[in-house]
Amino acid sequence: MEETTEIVSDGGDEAAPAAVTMDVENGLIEEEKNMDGEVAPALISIHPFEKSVVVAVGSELRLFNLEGNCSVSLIDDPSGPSHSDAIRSINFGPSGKFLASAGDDKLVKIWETSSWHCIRTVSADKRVSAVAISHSGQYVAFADKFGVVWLVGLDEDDAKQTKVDKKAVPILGHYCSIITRLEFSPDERFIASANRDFKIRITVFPKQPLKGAHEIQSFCLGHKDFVSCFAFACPPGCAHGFLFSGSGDSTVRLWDFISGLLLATCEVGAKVGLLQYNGTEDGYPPVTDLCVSSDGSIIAIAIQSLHGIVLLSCGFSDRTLSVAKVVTLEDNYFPTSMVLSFSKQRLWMVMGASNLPTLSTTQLPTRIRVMSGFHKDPSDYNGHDPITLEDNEIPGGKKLLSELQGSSDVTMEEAALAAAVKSSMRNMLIKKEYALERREMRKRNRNDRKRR
Amino acid sequence: MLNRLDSAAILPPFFFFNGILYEPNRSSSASKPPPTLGRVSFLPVPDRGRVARGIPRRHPGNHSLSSALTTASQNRPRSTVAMSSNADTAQAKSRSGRLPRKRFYRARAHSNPLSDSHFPIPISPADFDYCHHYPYFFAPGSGGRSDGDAPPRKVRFADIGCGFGGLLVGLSPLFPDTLMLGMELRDKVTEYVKERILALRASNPGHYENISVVRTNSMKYLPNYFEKGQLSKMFFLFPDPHFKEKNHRRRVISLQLLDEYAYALEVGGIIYTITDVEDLGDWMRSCLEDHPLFGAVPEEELELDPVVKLLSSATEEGQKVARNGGQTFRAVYRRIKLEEE
Repeated sequence: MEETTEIVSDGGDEAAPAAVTMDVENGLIEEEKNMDGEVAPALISIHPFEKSVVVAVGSELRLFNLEGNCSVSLIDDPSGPSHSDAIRSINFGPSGKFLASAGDDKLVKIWETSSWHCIRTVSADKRVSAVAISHSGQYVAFADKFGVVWLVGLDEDDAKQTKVDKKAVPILGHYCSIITRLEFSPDERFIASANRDFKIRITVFPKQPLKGAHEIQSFCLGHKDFVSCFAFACPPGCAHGFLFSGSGDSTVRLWDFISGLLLATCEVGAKVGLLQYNGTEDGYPPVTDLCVSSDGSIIAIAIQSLHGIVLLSCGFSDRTLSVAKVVTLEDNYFPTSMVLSFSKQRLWMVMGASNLPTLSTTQLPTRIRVMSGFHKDPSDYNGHDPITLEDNEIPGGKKLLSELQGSSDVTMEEAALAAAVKSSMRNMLIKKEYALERREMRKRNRNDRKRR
Repeated sequence: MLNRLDSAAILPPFFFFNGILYEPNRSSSASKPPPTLGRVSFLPVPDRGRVARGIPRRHPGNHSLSSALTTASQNRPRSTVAMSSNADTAQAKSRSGRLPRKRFYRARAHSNPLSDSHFPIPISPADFDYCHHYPYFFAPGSGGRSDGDAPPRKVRFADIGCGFGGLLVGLSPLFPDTLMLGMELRDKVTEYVKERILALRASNPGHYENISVVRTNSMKYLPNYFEKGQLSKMFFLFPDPHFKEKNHRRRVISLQLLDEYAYALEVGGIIYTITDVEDLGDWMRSCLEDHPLFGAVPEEELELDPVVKLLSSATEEGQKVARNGGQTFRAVYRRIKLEEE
């Protein structure tokens, strides 16, 4: 971890003189930096069999081995570069054999989860916004800021011989729209990608995917703002399963993804009564994360500026989706990312962010909470809440927390963190609207102009 | 298609409410504000992009292109006034069947398809307002969709980057029962095509009812207009060549965008492309050739296709190329089923 922090500070030093040279527009640039230098929300992911849990904050990956109850240090690829900027996506994949991490430093790193060696570092052309691992563990897909999805093959047998010429290949593209999530369907027949132009695209994942995935199965259209998250669920007795998606329009929707048909909509923000002022107008806050158990019995939603989570219940047969329960946590806790461990029925949440302007410390604080005691029947929550575990009840206990949070006691920072985290997702995903003068200023500083 | 050769001179812009221009004397039911947010309409409702983000509209009725031109007009206030009244009279004329004049609709020759522009987009194809576009086929009283047992009529031909609408006007009498939609990114050009169609409808009652136009970015929002396999023909005539390699991703034909075109086209549907730029011609042909869902249409079949003749003759851009004795490069491909090896 020491390595990565060093690189961060290096990058900062380099950037500083560049900013100074811009004299006249300094004010505007500064302002822009503050807005564009958005905080990067902390992420959490868990091994499918709850063997280990990983938190990404800034360029740091923090790992804890739950099986061995010990911390893990990653062994980085000696030949490749390390993460040096905010990690935007981490993913274990359904088999749990690999962990993929990727982000603003245009690197995709693939870690082997038994030895925690980095087995592959892929350099992308653009910043990476989402990453996914196929069920067989054979492919890693990642999406860049141009909206292009790339695929890397992970054949173990010939990994050594052909490592050099195995580059990522583009397999599909959303036309210049940032892809927010990427996921394989449970049967691996499809690859789903959501973007901030309110689209979810379901593409047939072909048998020879490295030649490109050209056949679009469907588009799930209905959201009125960016799609921030989605998840597949396959209740018993269903052939293909369903897709849940959450969006900046403060709704969660249920889709038949084979046909792209919208089956149900739940206006979560309105139901929970979270009207808020978002800068120019009153509106409901976006859904930031969504976790669904594989059978669809647990649906947990994080909404920006809600200090807690919302549990939904879904009737798959009669196509209903409604709020079952709002579970609130302490006032200053706004989860930035959550993950559900299927085997133990625990919901892991993390709050944290990097690039915080207010914090002077180099430590990036994060706060982890774990919830358990979910009911099989979501309509039966009355008087029987899921329990938020105390710090010492969390698997791994204080040891885990001190490893993953950066320190065992982060309450000091919590207020500042909460304030930054509150608007992070929206700022990250909305389309930015600039005033005319700002636009002119941006044009003047365009790279192709500067070169002249 | 972007009017590459046209002069890029910026004339003072004319501002008007689209709804007033396009729907002068509609029944009250048609001029009611659309019920759903984001429904395609020519009425000056706040567009959905702004509504979703809660951004107040600066100039009601204007789109980003015209507001970009505002600065230019501020230098010439006198002529702006004179010209807008001129434009008004031009509008009045087109209602009575006189064709709009292109000189009042001068726009930039290029428009950046990558920019986040703000105009209303239907949330899904079901949201596309057929009543407004094809009132002859979808009488306002009958609830919008075609009557009874027959499945509702849908747009079958799409002219992507329709420019000044020459192809639509040429195709309309050839396929009088087929609905066709032109899609154009530049709002003034779209405005011109709207007026042109209205004028044609007014002077030829019962004709040109099957063509319409929308201002949209088809590279981004095609699936919002058409369902899977809905189209039987797609046209890409004289698209912007984007010569610089850096700008190749702005080209309207690319391997990735062909995925979406293949989605919108039915199996057996045909994609027509033509250009006068050899580089672009090669590019489009190789993209189509490399795409597993498209196969070349044999030459003898093309000779029998009445549409093929229109490709180079019907559009304004095509006529210009012919006038200058230029060469054209054509690629016509059919949507085929994927063969799993």
